Amino acid sequence: MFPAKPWARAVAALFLCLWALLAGSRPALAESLEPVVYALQEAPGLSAPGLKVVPPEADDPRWQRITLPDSWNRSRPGFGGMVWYRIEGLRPESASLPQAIYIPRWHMNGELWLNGHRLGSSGEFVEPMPRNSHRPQLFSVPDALWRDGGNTAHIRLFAYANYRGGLMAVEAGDEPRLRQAQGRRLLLESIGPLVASTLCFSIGLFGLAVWLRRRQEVLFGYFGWASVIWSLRNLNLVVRDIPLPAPLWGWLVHSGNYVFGTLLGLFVLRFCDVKAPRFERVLWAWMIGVPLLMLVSGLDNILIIQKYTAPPVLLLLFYVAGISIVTAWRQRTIDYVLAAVVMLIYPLLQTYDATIMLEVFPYGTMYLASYAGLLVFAVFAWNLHTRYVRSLDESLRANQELNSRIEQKEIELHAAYSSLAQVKAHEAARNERAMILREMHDSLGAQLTTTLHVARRGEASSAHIADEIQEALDQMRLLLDTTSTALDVVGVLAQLRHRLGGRLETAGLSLRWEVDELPDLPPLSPAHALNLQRIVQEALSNVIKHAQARLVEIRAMLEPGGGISIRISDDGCGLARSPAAAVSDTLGHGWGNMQARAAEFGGHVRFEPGLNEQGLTVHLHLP
Amino acid sequence: MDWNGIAVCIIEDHAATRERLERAVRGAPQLHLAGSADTLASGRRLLTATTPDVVLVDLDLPDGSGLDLIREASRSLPAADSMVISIFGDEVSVLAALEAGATGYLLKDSDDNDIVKHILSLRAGGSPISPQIARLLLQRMNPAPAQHRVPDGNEEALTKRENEVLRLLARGHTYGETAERLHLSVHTINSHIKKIYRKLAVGSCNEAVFAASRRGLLDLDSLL
Repeated sequence: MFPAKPWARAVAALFLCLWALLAGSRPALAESLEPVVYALQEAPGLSAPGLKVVPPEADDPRWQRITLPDSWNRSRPGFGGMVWYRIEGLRPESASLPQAIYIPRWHMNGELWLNGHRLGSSGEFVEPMPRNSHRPQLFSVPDALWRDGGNTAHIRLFAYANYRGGLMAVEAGDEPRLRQAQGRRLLLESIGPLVASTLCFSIGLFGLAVWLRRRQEVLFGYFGWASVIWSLRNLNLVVRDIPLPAPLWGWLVHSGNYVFGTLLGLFVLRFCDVKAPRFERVLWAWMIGVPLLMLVSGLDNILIIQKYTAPPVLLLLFYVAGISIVTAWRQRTIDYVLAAVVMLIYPLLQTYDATIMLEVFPYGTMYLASYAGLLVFAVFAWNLHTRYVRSLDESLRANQELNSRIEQKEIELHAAYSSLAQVKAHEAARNERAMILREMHDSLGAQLTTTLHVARRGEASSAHIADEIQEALDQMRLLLDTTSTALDVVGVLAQLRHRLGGRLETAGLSLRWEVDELPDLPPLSPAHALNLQRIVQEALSNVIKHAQARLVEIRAMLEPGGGISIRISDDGCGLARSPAAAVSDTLGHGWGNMQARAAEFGGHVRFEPGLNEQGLTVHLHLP
Repeated sequence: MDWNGIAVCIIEDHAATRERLERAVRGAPQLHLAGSADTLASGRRLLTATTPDVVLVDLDLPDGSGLDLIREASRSLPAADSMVISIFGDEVSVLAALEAGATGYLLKDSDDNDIVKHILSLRAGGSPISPQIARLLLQRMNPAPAQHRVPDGNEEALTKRENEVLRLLARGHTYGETAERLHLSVHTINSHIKKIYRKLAVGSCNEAVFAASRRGLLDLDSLL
């Protein structure tokens, strides 16, 4: 069944050594030699006919001389029922202090008499029989009860067969001292295990709760079940009046023992990351098999079955302990070392308890395995702590990583965005440049080529050529005006007048300037400024060329309905009387051009009557 | 030194332009050519050697900026007028020159008559101004919104009247129209403009351009 690994053999040897050591350390019997003890065994059972409920007479022939402690498993194996004890030669320790009688252990239920007076009992002698295995008994003795010379105590004790019935040495003495002794024993035997079990139970419930929500956390499952079962099983230590029929209760208690041990083993295997499915199956088989065996073979024989099943289980547990020790050695982290310690100590404690069962030690030696709950608690608590801290660290790190990733993305996004904005700005600048170049080409280029052509043919006077070039230069200045600073509507008009005023004068036109001080308007983009400038320029040049006007008026104002209106009006001949070509030019190319330019900034151009009947007004509306 | 004429110095590296200007000055009986130069260095020497009444300066000189020369002239020759010679009369170069202490500008394509007229007008107290420059002056010399403004106590504020003059000019009105609207003479308008120019130059003694850009008035990029 076990691989014959050297360390496995070593563990087995260790197990045997400990066994032998514990057995050999059996102390000399702490037997009070002074009082003389007799025992009288009644007929088995609780309701045999003629069962005495008062101390039997001293001359009853059934009295037999014995020594305490009296373990029924040794002195009367297989007996279940009533035994009377007669203890002769008890005497008070001192006359000044209150006196008491202290019985560290009687099991299951007892009653104490002194000199024919009933001092008290640890419970009613009815089913279910109270169990007092972990309840040291102390009875105060009234001074009047003591007799000079010799005092005789009687103890009536009842226990089931194979239930480790028995009586420890009875001591009479000063009540304060004995009460202290009782307290110490109670603490170690009952309260300590209760505290350990309570801790174990609560953390077990926690483990189970985690496991129920996250079934993949098998470790939590094993731990939770083991802890809860173990602490429930330990109720046995403190419950005097059991809530179930005695055999069933006994079966549950002993099964709990097996189940806990096996689950602990399974947990440690998983914890140490040992993949041993076959071995796990063996553990499962034992865990289920032994309680089943107890059940089918009759609950009265639990202790007998345990005698034969406990050693193999212990061996299994020692094997797991070996695995955990090896793992701890390899990993050398607190988690694994703690697990290994628990896995080693638990079977040792169980072994110790088993040897108590096997009467290796004097009757009444305290069980220790219940303290395993503390160890389990320690391992689990440490494990939880490590996991918690680790997951905190991890989440913190994950958070930081996330943050830094977000930051990085933000930077990238920002870079992408700004480069996009740059590209856009670049594009806009390029578009405007392209537009201005186009304007230059259209106006300047055309003008210069025409002039060049005329000059080459020698048809024009130098004055004419100079005029043409001057006009080209003016055009260029106007173009530059729109690009050099951000101008608003009024700025464009004013600068236009500044540039063209001389030409109007030369053409014999007087100009009436009615530009209102418009409220602060947003500056136009160069493209819009250029469009506005060109519309007005076109209108003015039409006036100069075709209108035969004497007066031109430029009027700019806010419109009541919103927007700005700019009117270029003249007192000329209007459309009707201008030469046909000019009209078609004005209405065709020029007019369409103005409309198109106005449309670019959302405005429109209308023709309206001028300053006199024939005159024309070009009315530009800007939103 | 000719005491009977207006002494004119010309600092211009473009030979044809320089010669044309020289010709225009020589051709005018009221004017007298004190000398001409084609670099910043020789221009400096010329200004020390002569005491011109009018200095015509091109901004783009091969060995530096004519602005330096204008600045020096306005310090060493406070009675003289400096005019910047510009192709386009664009507000960037004109404004920079005005800040340096110039009181007028000449367009390179002006004909000889115009050149003489401008110089005479300048000496008579007139100063040319375009609406665009009037607009910029209004922005420059009036308190900007508080959040853009770092008071440096180094600027001369415009009077109410000067503001009115600039506002009308900025809207495109001529000197004549402006004078009419304000019930003033054209001559007064001219002297207002000149005063404004002086204020601008005084206010811009200390790195005015940077001060202006600090105040959020000028986009430095548009100057460069």
